[in-house]
Amino acid sequence: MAKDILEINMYRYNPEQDKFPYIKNYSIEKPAKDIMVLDLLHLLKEQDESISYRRSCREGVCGSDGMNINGKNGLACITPISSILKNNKIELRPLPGLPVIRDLVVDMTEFYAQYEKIKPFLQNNTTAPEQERLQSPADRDKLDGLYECILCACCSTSCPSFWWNPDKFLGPAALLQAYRFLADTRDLKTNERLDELSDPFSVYRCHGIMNCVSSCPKGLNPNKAIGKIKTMLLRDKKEIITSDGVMN
Amino acid sequence: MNIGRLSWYLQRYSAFYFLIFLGYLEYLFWTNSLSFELITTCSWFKVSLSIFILLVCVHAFIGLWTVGTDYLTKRTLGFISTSLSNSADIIRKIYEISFILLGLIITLMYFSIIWF
Repeated sequence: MAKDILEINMYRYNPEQDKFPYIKNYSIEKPAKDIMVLDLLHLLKEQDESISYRRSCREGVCGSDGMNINGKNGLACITPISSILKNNKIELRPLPGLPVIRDLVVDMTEFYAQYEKIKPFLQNNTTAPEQERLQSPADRDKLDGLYECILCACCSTSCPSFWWNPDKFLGPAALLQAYRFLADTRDLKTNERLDELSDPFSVYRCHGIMNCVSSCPKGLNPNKAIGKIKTMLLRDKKEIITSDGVMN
Repeated sequence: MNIGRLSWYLQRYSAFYFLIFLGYLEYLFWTNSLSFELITTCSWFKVSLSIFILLVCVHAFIGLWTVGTDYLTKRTLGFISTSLSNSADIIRKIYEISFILLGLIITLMYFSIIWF
């Protein structure tokens, strides 16, 4: 095969037509510029209109186009083909572990159900101030590396514990957000949140293999957040909450 | 204490005990002090070996239970066949009872050697 031809092996499955999924091979002339995998998909769609994938913002903000690219989860819109090419070959598959709706489109219901479980909103039943609940710069800094998650599911679907127990183990994305609210000094439901996480599956099923860290397209570290949740769970909760209800 | 926290502590503390005890066994071995007589007569050694055996069973139970709840579920067995998936709960129970019985047999066997 000539060097300027890209060979793309893509997972294809249309439940209305196909009994089983299959890998379809596409060949395309290598673009002169270094383009993103999403742009490559657009070029492929010109060849074959039946290809299905999700995309929206095309700049790594919406998290729609998470997929498995050459064996590693990532966002197609911010993955340059030069960074993943091996012998001019690219393998594109849907995010692992979630049911496939069609081609590269997966059913995210289980993923969102776990996110919903952690109650991803601020819980504070004290009287609201006139403008906003203030934080010190130091307290605000604790949220850095947590709030940036775009829920693309690249981390959770690269986690074997989530593959085996997607209904019981919350997964790295939901746990990162769980810690985002545990670390927020404005949230006063720390004990209740920890109680919800204290069973043997929700958090403890994480064995720290760090696939989540390796696959996060935003460079976040869910494993570190999970470690901090475990520390909070293993400590006496009374030590965590001060008399005025603010977490240390 | 909830089960999640208890099992986490048991896994870590038992592993720490194994490290210390196996280090001690290593020392006895290389100083030619390890003998059947020591195992059956020294009270201190008998107690520490009994704790070791019990902790091995607990440690193994938690580990194997984790493996079972990962790989012997409706979802994972469903990758092989639908009938296996339908029987997943029974298969996992048989698996769990098997290693509980194995642990009991090993414990009784060692205790009978050490204490009787």
